[in-house]
Amino acid sequence: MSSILSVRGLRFAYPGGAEALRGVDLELHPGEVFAVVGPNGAGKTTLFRVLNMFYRPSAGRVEYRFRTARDGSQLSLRRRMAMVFQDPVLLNASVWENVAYGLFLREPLPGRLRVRLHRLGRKFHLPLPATELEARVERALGEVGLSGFTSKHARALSRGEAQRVALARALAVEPELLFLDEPTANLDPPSALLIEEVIRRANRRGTTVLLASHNIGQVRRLADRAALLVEGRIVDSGPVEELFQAPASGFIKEFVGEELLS
Amino acid sequence: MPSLLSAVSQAFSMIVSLDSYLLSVVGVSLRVSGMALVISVPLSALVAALLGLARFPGRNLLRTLVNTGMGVPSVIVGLVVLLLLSRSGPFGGLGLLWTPTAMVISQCVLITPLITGVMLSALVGVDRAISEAAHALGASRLQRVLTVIREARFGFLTAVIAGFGRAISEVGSVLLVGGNIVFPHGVSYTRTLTTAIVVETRKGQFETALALGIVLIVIVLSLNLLASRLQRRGSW
Repeated sequence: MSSILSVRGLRFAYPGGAEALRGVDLELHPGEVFAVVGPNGAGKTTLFRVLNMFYRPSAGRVEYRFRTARDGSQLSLRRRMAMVFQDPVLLNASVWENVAYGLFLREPLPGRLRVRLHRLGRKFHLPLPATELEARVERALGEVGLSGFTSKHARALSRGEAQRVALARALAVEPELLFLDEPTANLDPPSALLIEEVIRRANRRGTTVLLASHNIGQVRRLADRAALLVEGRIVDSGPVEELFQAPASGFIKEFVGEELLS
Repeated sequence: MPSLLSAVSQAFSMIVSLDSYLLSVVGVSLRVSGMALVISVPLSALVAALLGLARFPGRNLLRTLVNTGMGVPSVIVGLVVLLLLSRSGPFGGLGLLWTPTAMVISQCVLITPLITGVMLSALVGVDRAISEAAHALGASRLQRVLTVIREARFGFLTAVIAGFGRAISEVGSVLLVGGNIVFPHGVSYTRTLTTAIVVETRKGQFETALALGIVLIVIVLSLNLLASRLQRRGSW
């Protein structure tokens, strides 16, 4: 099976600090949900930051094989990916501006101005058609169940709503590869389940998902395959059910707890 | 001494009757400080962005200069600009001393460090996570910088208001380099609200001085109200 992301011998050390990733190998298949589980400080967030090119690896190779990247440039590759963080980081602006943000980044200036003019015109009741960008923002907000929230300010949102906006913002750019770094860790169960459903739907439309999670229940519900990351190394990996039913390493038992495995 | 009430009523009548002396003094104040702002704001934004978002040799020195400049008394700025522009000074040939242009120059020198400093603290105050989020959504380097600057826009607005407030309310440097000149027909050339207050007080015209003071306060107050209104609206 071909892979969308291939990672070989990836190492990363913080300047003047200990090595956070110590030789990670990973293959992501197109269209799957792959979970990375592991204790705090195992290197999950560092791994995600290297994979979305926020950090440069100190050694090893990362290969991206996107269908739609126009060229091999860093920016073009990055624009086929998106990431949602554990804590929603929203701009000090309306929900609409937040969801449109990633799209605006990809739109040349004339297009951006056209959208601004359309929105301004509609304020004065001109019957202007919705632009493609606006339609995508609407779709993404509908996807996370926040259709009526466009003009609300990001600061007026609850934590769960803010995370849904962050997810909508990532989905709006229709990424081929979506990084989710413990997206529901700080949310109440209903919000978490809602977000899981959104992730599942996005995955069904073809988005490959790399998920970091503490929540074994969530990993079993969402992921096809998973890997256990401990101290910067992958100590065990495989299809989720196999991994949790018959763990090869003692780490999984320790991490998950005996009772959850049965 | 006049009562505050009579000063207020005189100020009101001067404003309502569109007193030509008052209007010309207000006009000079607004033009000079407005022009100083137009020049200082882009310059300050550039320096603040460099200091806040880039690493380069001499950065600490520049930062110290900005911090020091924020506290320099306006008379000292005025004195230095005076020496530079006076006939025997290096820029004496330009013939700028005792003109509104000289006042604009000294106000620029005075407010650029202040605006830069406030803008810088606004930039530094933007959550570092914003820059990473921008990266994660496909922002180029430039787009990341612009995103952080956009996040700091309310702080930038505060900086502009603070700069204008300092410019329009300072006396020392405009008095020294502008010369507080009024044309014989009673219209201001380089007399501002603040220098006019000094003159009227010296002449014993306390009511006119207070009236001018009230106009000055009203200008500064309405600008601040406008700024806080814009901030409350939140999304712009």
